[in-house]
Amino acid sequence: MTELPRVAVVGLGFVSSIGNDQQSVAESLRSGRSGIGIHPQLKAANAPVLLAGLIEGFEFPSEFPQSWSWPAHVEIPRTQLRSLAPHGVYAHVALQEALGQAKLDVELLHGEETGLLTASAGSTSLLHSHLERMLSRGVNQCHPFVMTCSIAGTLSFNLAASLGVRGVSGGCVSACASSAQALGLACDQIRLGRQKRMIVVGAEDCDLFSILPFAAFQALTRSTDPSQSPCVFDQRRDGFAATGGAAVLVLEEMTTARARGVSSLAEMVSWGWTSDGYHPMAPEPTGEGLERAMRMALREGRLQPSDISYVNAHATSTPAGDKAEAVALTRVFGSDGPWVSSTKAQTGHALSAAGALEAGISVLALQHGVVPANLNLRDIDPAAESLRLPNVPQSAKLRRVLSNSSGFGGVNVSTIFQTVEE
Amino acid sequence: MNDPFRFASYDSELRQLIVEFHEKPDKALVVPIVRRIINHYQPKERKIPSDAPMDQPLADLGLDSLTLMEVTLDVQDAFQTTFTDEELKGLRSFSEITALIDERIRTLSEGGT
Repeated sequence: MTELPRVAVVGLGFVSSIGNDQQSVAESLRSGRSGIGIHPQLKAANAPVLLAGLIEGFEFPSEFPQSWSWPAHVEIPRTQLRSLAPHGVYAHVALQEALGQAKLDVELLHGEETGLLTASAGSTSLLHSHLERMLSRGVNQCHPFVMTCSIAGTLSFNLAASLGVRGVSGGCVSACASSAQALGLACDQIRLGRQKRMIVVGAEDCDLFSILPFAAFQALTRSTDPSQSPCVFDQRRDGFAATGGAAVLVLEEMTTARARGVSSLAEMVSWGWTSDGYHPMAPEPTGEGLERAMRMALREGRLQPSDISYVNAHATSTPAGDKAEAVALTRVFGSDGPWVSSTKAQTGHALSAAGALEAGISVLALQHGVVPANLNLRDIDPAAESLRLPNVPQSAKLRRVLSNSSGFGGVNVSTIFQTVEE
Repeated sequence: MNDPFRFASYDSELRQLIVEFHEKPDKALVVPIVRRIINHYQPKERKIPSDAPMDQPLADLGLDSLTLMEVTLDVQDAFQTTFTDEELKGLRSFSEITALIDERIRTLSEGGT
């Protein structure tokens, strides 16, 4: 069998509750600083849940883009801004650092060999406000960008146009597995020789409309103390804290990247993708589908479980989900396994953006030799007791990281990254 | 101006003119308000001067069709009125927009419906 092209990560970008650039995110991972706090919109709405991963440096006080603000170093022309959702603004800011690091200039962005895959759930708040206006004032009073700024796909419509992408473009909509899935599919595009490089963007709004519906099925923590909850793999866990933001990874065929003089931050080795075939929302209790995803990723990378030094778990801090994953991890890695942590207790759950955020965190973990902590973990769930779960950040030389993501519909994705010897 | 954010990005002069119009719907305010709304959407190098011919199609001034829709939305909000489908279809030039507003003001002052 011919060797597949190797895929390098050549750019990273973040807008997250623990930092809006690589350096701040890495520093937060090293110090265990939580990005979770009381969300002002949830508080103002007198919502029964209050905690969320808070994004700093942005304001979206109304549905009118004219009223929005974002970090001043990023320029977004009005003609682009007018059809963006808030998470599109997050994405623009995260792209700035990633594209700069990957040295992607206009010419490369416009080249046929550069593609784009995105993940977001759309903007429920904009959809709501624009449709409400349509119903109350008539369709002629409805904003002409009502669709392109709000429906699932808004991120890819807008970024494909503003970046001038002429290769593949599109989006993944598998809820919380979406951006991990986008990464896997992007990796495949490069390995199949269809594209030389792929920009992968996961992003979500971070407001009442993107967060509160999860409380309708008891998925969100009712705690008001971020030093207690979320607490992944802990017996006391009662739900996650949601967040939004954006994460960007630029993938490139490794020899092409080297020829351009671009550093490889890590190598994307392989990935696995399965479904539970069980329930539209609840995870299958034995974690069998997630286990198959992890084994598929290991097999494709020709790796043994012992080759993995750290697992960035999907665990969100819900009773059912963490347990299913703990059981699956125990079956795959046994009792003498790698470090395991879920950074969602620190960042909040970035929903569609979680896979890309955590893949980015995994790459930083490899680069900086840091194992992020399971913040607030004190009373370990018996189902997770054989896992190696640090509750404070650890320094360790890491060779390979496996990152898990699961979403509605029982979709499971595992991605594997490793350090690159130049 | 019910929603403080609706016109947040307008310059203070334009916001002031809209407030004045709401207090007293004066026909003389229509042209300056509409011109400023259009210019709000125009890049620096394409601002419409006050002596530009009123009946020139806005497309010739570099306004794309989507921007024209944004302009007409803003105009409807600024003058607190609603255009019908037929009216919207006919709007291509500056003078067509201002004529429509003038007509609304006349209806108002005559105590029409």
